[in-house]
Amino acid sequence: MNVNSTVIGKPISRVDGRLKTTGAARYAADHRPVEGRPLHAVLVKSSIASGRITGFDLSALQSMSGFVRFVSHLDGALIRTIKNPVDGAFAAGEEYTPFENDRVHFVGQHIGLVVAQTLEVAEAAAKAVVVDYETSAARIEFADPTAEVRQPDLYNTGEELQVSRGHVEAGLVEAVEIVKATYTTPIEHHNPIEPSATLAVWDGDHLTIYDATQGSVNDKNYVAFGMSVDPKNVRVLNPFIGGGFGCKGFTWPHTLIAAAAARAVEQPVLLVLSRKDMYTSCGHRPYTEQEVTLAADADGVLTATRHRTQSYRSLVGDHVEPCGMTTAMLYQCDNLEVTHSVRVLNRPSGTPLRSPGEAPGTFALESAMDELAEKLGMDPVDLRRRNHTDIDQRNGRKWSSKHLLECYDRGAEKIGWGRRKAPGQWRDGNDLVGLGMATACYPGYRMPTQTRLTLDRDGTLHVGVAVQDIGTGLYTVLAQMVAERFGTSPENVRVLIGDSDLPPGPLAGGSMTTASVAAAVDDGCRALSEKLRARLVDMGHTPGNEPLVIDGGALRSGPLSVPAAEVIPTDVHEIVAEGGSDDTYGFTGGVETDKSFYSFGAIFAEVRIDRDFGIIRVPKMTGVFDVGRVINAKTARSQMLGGMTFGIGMALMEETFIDDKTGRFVNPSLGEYYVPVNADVNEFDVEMLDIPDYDFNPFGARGLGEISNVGASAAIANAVYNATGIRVRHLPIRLDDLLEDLPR
Amino acid sequence: MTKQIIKMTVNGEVQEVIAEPRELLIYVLREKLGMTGPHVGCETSHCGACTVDIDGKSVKSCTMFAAQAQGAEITTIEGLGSPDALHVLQESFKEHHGLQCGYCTPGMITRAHRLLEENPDPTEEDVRIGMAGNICRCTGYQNIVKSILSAAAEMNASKEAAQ
Ligand code: FES
Ligand code: FES
Repeated sequence: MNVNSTVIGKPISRVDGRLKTTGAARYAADHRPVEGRPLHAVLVKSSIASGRITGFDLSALQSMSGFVRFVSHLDGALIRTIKNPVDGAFAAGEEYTPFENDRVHFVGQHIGLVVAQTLEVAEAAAKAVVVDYETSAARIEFADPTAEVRQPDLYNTGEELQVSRGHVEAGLVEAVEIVKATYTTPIEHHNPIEPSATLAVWDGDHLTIYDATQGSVNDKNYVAFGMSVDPKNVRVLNPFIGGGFGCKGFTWPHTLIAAAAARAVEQPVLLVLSRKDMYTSCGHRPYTEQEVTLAADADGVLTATRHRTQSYRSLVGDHVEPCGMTTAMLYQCDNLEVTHSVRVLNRPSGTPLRSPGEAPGTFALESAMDELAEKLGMDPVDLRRRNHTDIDQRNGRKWSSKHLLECYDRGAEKIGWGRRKAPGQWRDGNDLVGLGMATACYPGYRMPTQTRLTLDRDGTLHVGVAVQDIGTGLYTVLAQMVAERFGTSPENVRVLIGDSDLPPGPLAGGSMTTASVAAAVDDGCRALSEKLRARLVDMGHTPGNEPLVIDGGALRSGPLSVPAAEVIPTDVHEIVAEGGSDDTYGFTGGVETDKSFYSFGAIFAEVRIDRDFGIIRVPKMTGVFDVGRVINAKTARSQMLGGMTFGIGMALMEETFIDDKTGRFVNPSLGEYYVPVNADVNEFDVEMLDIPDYDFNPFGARGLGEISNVGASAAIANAVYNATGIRVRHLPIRLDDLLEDLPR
Repeated sequence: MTKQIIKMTVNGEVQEVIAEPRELLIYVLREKLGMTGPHVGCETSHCGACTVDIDGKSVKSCTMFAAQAQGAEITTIEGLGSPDALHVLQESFKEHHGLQCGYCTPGMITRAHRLLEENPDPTEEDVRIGMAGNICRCTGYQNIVKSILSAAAEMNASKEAAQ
């Protein structure tokens, strides 16, 4: 790696900027079939939480001009039954097959689809479908005593969800201070601004899908299975995705339903989910109740840790919000117990939402650390330093690269931690001011990835891999990686992603794409380089040991310079090489190593609270992150800014309410589910240490999309406490949590 | 439903479309005129992804019937610039990284364009309040504000130079 690279780490503007700023970038719903217009489809969803469908009355639809077809479970086997949620080849959001039978498991389940000539007709027809149900008892309330409670062993990464080491009770006896408190986090929805959408186009037994998905390969395999066609006959295209944050990660029923409907009507079908559909169709972060116990001796050394998470799952989706995973690894503590249990309820399914587990889990853990520091009379940063460890507490391995102490130091300096006062003591005019902080961390994941590297006669390099840019900047990052390896400018590299026909790569989740493609691109470039050298030798040249540079239409190695047009035989137009890596890190069954991989960071927040009205503002937030080598300073910084803003939403605004009687989400719209807007945020201070982790991959990068959202809510909650002396143990924190007790 | 002919000028071109009274403007723009730059994000006039400019005002085209645009002068993102000829605002969003996924961006830039017509020399607060009707879930807004302020400065500088 060239540490003085002119490419890696530079603030290069996104290569897709021109398309995205002009409306020329096409998202799933913007594509049109090659010929004609697609039919429009609208979902019919269940209005009961439990029971069965006894019939559909479609009489009002038949007379509607433009109405084409209604499909449901009554159409027989439109979709092949999927038995296993993770059937090896794919991961589905839910373990049931849409339209499989008459059963209803939650409000908002897809039970039918209307296809019509226009969206207006489809919407009117969907409203006119009368569904007859036979309802049965539903378990909706979180505390329903009749709900089945499960204690799953493993999270979807293979990580243990029930962890125990040492003796917690003994550790409690040793302690001089103990914090035991329950923290809750609400139901939250991803709300990417692009709703999920699928355009399904059949040509004989070949299917092309334009899908708003975070994983084209996963999508392809799932749809191929459900449609009983060879995966080779299915192509998923997702060149641009309007954000996802997890809700487009696994494949959800609507994609399959659109494909099945298009086959049934023998015409292309476009299904765009409404914002309201999004609330029950592709997951959410479930409500959590977390009981945390932290015990410490007089020096602040943790003697016992316990983190018990209770959450829920739907009848058909197996997501568990893994809140205690962070607790199990982060601080040095020999006596620890982490448990997770889920109640099985008639609610829509959960799914990962930006930092699943870490975001709500650190709210509880890092709030409890703040409470412990207060009890011990210690500075919260010092308490964390005191319990810092270079060993992964789960398995005794050393961290590959951990610079968390530096994050604390830099963050404290930048926010002016020295200004902090005792709770409720800092006033500025009518404002109560407070500072709070929290540790952030997120696992380093890597998945097998293949790439294709091509050099054409113009001397342009092409890199192809079936990954996707959900907004992170992957197009640009890939161009930079290839440019770095061939000593050229990113403008000389064409990036092909967002197409399942390309060499396979992982879905965009777990902040793992950059690390995964890094290893694959490195190997692909090596393979291309070897081919080109062999070709130069064939041509009678003697390339030296110097790295091969491809720039200005020519190949150079030391003093040798040969035009690309000469190197590439006239009959082939291009030289192609494939490379990749089969290695997995961070998931069970991955590479055996003696190291553990995690990103770390420290988040500091300043809050100002109006003494009369309790309005909470966050004028300043500082995040310092240790995320390995930064490939692009501009796109990376933007990820961090966006993640910290997500954190403000989580801390102060976001909550989906469920009606315990009916099982309906009460506020399924952007009007009633509040997300941060322009006026809610101020300038954030973001710093990345930029220390490469070459044990993790040849470019030294770890993921960074999710960690920026971890810790932010605890830092804000702790700052609220510091400003007011009021400890709020639930999210979001609203002015009505403070009003009554505000110091006057 | 009785269809009617709607005549409007879109990005400088006179267009005639046949639409039902219940058809929304965003639908007619996207499905009948092929302008897929404006996006649908919420259908409830909260996100601003569908923002277009109508007779000198920013309008959320998901909340307006096409029939109400009879005779109107409409500008969409496609009318501001093209990939080969970016408008100053588009260039600025690209350079200052005022976008990630880009889904909110056409509405964001179309609104920003009108904002700068209304107030050519806005403060940061003017921008934050003037853009409050456009939600971005990705960027955290800082770079959007920067993009708009920098474009304003550039547009003002070139205006001065022209005088
Ligand atoms: S789609 Fe019109 S404001 Fe959201
Ligand atoms: S860039 Fe994704 S919503 Fe704004």
